[in-house]
Amino acid sequence: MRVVDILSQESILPQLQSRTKTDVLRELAQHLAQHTQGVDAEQLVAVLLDRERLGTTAIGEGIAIPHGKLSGLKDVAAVFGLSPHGVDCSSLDGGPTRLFFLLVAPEDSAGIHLKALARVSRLLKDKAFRERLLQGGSQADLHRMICEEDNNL
Amino acid sequence: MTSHLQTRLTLLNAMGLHARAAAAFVKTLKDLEVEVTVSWEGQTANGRSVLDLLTLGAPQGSVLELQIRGVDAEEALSTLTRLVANRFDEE
Repeated sequence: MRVVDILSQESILPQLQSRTKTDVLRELAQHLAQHTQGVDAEQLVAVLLDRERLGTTAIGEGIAIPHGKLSGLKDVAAVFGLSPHGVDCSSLDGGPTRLFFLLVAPEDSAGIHLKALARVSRLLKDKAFRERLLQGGSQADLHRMICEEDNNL
Repeated sequence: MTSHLQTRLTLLNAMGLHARAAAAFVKTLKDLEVEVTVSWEGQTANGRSVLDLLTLGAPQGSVLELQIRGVDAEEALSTLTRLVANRFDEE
């Protein structure tokens, strides 16, 4: 699985407006719902918040990978958002979170979910690449950067 | 005294080394003076980094090879072994 298989150019939010974790999750979920058939934004927000209660998905290095499972979904869906200011997400290393990669998987898909998580983690592993993303750009710019890095993995 | 230990741990939990399990793994090592590398299927990850552990994408049944170095190696070995054997307290 490649990241670009699950992340279209339209699924990128170059400038998240929200300033709190819950609002960021809502902003990402609403965007995903607009671009994915059969996804209800409020239902998705509830699933994401339930998951966050089990432990933060802000894994450090400025990265959060909020995720959850939704019945009725056919394939893994994703949204990538950049926060210009950084958001306090109670991250594992205590730092602010700026790179948000939302992953939603169908029910009963532990295997696909794990593969998507692994690929996204590989994509974001390189610090120099993360810094290039953080410099920002248009949807098209960011998508191009992600495609190039994805192809090199 | 610094020791160097190695072990193999089999992932028993249904979800494998997913985000919450990886976070629990890293948290276990938080106060220990130790370096841990985790290898699986030719890939190697730093056992103190959730991002790194997630890159493995190791599912249920995977046998992880651990190299543990440092003054707290023995404690790290026993707590990690317990964590994995207890299915990360998930099921």
